Amino acid sequence: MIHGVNLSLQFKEQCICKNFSFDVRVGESVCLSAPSGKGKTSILKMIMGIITPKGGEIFINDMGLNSQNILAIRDLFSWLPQNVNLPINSIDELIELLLLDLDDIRYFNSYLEELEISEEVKLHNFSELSGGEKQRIILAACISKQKPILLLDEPASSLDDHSIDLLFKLLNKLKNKTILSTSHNQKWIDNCDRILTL
Amino acid sequence: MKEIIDISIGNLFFGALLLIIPIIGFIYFRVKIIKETIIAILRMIVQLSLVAVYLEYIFEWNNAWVNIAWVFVMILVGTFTTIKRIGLSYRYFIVPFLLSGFTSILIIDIFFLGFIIHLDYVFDARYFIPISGMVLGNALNHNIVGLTSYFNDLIKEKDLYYFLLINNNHKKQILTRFIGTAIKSGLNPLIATMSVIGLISLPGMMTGQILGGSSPLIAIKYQLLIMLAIFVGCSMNLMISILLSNRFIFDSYSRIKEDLFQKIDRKF
Repeated sequence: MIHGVNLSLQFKEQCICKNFSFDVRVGESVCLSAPSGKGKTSILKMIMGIITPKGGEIFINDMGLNSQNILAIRDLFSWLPQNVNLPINSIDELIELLLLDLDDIRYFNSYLEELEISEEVKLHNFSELSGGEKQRIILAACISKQKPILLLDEPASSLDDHSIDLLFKLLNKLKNKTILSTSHNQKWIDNCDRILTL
Repeated sequence: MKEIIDISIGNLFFGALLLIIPIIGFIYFRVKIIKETIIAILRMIVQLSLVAVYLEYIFEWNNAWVNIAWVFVMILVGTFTTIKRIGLSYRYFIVPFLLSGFTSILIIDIFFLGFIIHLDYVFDARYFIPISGMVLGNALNHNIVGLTSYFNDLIKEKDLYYFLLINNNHKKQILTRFIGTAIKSGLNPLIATMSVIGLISLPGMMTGQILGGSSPLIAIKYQLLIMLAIFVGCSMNLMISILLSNRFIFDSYSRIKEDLFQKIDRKF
């Protein structure tokens, strides 16, 4: 489903990766592992076409990642970014910005319930929420669009063990999702099907 | 109608003596803007004197092509000033800003001069040049504020932009949020001015017309018209500038070309 061939990336003098190849198959949950600052987020951004590799190619569903295919490819992704401190005011604004329709909102509310986000928390101003609450809300909103590939950047960074369990329970319920995540959290890594080392 | 009282050059200079008061204040409070103030005043004197000479000839000549050329120069200077003040690249932004200037002036002048004032000769220097100038002069300030806000927000909130780009994949819809904020920033001062006009401020054009001998009623009607023209012109200019700029500030992957905004003036 996601196929990277000989990927190389360099920022100024720093080599992020060289000839890195990988495969993520349909329905797999794969965790990208590497020390901090070694390019895990950059790999995800390359897959989404936010940054361009210096060399190599990326294929999603056998489509080469290029400017002609980018719209079709991005339609396959839901992305939880590492930085969840987004400049939004409320959950309603998030729903509006993500163009969630009635079906999506139904999913969103049920996912929030499964991730133990209370009705009271939903009413708070987004900036007043904790990192973990923001992370769970944004994740629930992203996956409610029912896209086939989930790209999760450090999804466990602000979560305690109990919340990680809840999140995995929810992700396991979603059928045929291909998940590529990055994490330092051992509990998260242990729960994934496979680890890709950068 | 009363005869207009002319001001002699000597009296003008005598009036300038009043500048001593703020300058003493600047010295007392150690505000280092005396040099800038004097340069600005000298520039104003030279610029307005030249304009007076040009306009005397242009008004007398009253040739459509010459008047159009004059407005073209105003649009060109406004475009260069906007690009320089924001800190953008001439290469990418001169075409969108020039086009937005032309489009807004064309619509304003045809509508207000042709259909509202019913001028037989739309390019009459007495109307065409000052009204275009008022619209362009105001559009310059509001465009700079609005465009700076737009480009700054795109860079400052790029995490949100990319988050939405991946998760909802509708760039035009995503940009409406950024464009809306920019339009608000650019036009809010103008809306505030319109809401208090006549109460705490008497506009320069109206005052000038009354001093020039017009009846207050006519002066107010013209002032209303010019304020509407300014507001419509500024709004159109800002919106068209943003929409046309969008063709150049994103690459084929819809990524923000951040290198275009490295020199952007973040004071605004």
